Amino acid sequence: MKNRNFAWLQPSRQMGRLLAAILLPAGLMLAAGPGSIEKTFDTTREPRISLNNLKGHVLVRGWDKAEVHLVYTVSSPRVEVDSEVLPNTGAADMIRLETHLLDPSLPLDVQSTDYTMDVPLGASLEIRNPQGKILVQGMQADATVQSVGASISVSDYTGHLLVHSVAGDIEVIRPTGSVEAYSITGNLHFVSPSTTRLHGSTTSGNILFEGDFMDRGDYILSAYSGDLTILCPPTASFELSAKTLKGKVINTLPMTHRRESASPRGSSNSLLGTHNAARANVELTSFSGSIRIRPQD
Amino acid sequence: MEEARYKTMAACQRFSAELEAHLDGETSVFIEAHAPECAPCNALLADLQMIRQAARELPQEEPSPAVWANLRQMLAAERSEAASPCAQFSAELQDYLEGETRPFIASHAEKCASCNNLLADMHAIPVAARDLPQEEPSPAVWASLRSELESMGAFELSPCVQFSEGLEAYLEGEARPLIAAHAQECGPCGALLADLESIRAAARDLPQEEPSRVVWANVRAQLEAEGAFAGTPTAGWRQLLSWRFAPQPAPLGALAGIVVLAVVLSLPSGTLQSGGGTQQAISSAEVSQVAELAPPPEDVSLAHVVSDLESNFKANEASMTPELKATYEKSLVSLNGSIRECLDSLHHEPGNTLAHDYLLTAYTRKAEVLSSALEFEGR
Repeated sequence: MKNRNFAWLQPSRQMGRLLAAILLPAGLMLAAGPGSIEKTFDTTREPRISLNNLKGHVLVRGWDKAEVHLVYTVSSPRVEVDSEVLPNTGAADMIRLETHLLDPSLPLDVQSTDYTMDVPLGASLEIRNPQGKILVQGMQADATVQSVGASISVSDYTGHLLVHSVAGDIEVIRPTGSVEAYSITGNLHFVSPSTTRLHGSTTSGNILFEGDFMDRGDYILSAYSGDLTILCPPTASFELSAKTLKGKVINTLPMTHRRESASPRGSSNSLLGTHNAARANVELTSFSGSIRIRPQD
Repeated sequence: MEEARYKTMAACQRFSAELEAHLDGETSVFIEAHAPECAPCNALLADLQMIRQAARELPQEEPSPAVWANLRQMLAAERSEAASPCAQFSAELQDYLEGETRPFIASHAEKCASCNNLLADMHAIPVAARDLPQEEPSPAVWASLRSELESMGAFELSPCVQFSEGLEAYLEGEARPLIAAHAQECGPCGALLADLESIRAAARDLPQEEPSRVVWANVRAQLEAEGAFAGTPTAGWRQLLSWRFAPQPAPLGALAGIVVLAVVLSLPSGTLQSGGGTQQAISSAEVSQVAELAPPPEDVSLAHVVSDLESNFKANEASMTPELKATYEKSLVSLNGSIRECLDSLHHEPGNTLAHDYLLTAYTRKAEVLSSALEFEGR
């Protein structure tokens, strides 16, 4: 057995090595994605990070490291990402990333750049991505997140959050810091907020609030033609002011009414009352949409 | 008493002035008259006459003939050297080398070998100097030189220069102890600081008056003409939103529209001029429907501002990408519907403040969207 001749295997082994030599780098390249570029910046614990993208997805995640790990993928070599890091040496306090076209006549379908960033938890963010979805997860400092036509989703954010999309939907999940969310035609969705200040406004989108109201919290939600729906636990404690000019106010929570129906401001449907101990202030207004207040299942 | 003293002094001065002539043999009645009357002058005259007499009695000794001979030789040599062509050559050489026209130099150099050699050397030296390698002193030499200069204070900025360099930061609130200290020591710098601080204080007290809408419109038109809104697309959107929420400088273009909105919103009703043609600039069918109902008088200017922005939007929408254009138009249609509906409600129920609040909100939102679109221009 020791002298067994395996010579017949040699050509296939060589072929295997050759294939491995060819396929392994190709596999690694595919794993990184076509045109993917990876960068790591040493930063302070609370750097300021701004990203101006044109089109494409943006994902930002907080992590417990004093560094920014960036992976971006351009859809064309004629799309370029500029990065500016300040200061030039040592831990960066500011990182600016900006996508721009080297060729303005580039077709729309190849103008996009996708970003994935892991950033320090304490980083403050300014993200602008007019035509692409934005996801932000697990951050602690202030953030401004803006889009024109795409949706925005922010989760587990403890700093002050300002979110604005002209036409995209906005979803804010488990925010702890103050929240301001604005849209024109997009829907607003707030899930399990633990914040004491939440303002949301949309013109033709709907607003859905799912969660409890915090003590001494201030919640102001406004839609024009969209509906407002509040789903809160039966234990929620708040003072309610709900008004709609042309829609209806539908409340299924046991409420101590202070006044209902026509108000001095004009003919509108309104509901003013308290639920439980009225520890929070809730103002809901709509022009032609309906307002619903229901207990969570 | 004073007069007598003055006369005595004047006489002594005259005695001094005429004394030398008297000693040289001239006859002076005054000298002979004053000396007996004035003891100091008389003593001086006696001393000088005694010295003169003693000098006359000294032996008449001549230098040796050799001394005279040497002296004559030296004088002759100096005279001959000063007059020689080589001396003239030396005298003119520097000017010649510096570029002046000196024909004597060339002509003498042809005749005189030593001067010719000197001239050749003088020509060769600069050429050789140009060809020398540019060798730097060693770092140690530089370091030594630098430390010496530093110890002499050669690199220290003057206090006034330091004051100038730190002034802006100081005025912006940074702690700069040097500024205040130097301003107390230096008059001009102190005056400058006082002026700037008084200007700042005066500016703070100025009334916050806004330019008229026409001015803003002109500013915007000018900026557009200069391509000021041709920045990155993200910048445009950011700038609009920055105005609303973030402590960043807003772009003038967006700010123009928004500031006017703010002004209009803050004005009491009835102070604004109402007039026809508020919606004239709006061209789309959707917006034309908005124009069917006139806004309340207090909202006319606001509507006019929005109308101006919409005109600009229409003028620039061709440059937008179809995707973004569709997004903006969808939003504008939605807002126009809101405005129309609010106007209709107010038409039927003028006192409906909820409808009025929504109308103002819709106008404001529309201005935001239009400004955003104008900043973005689809790029």
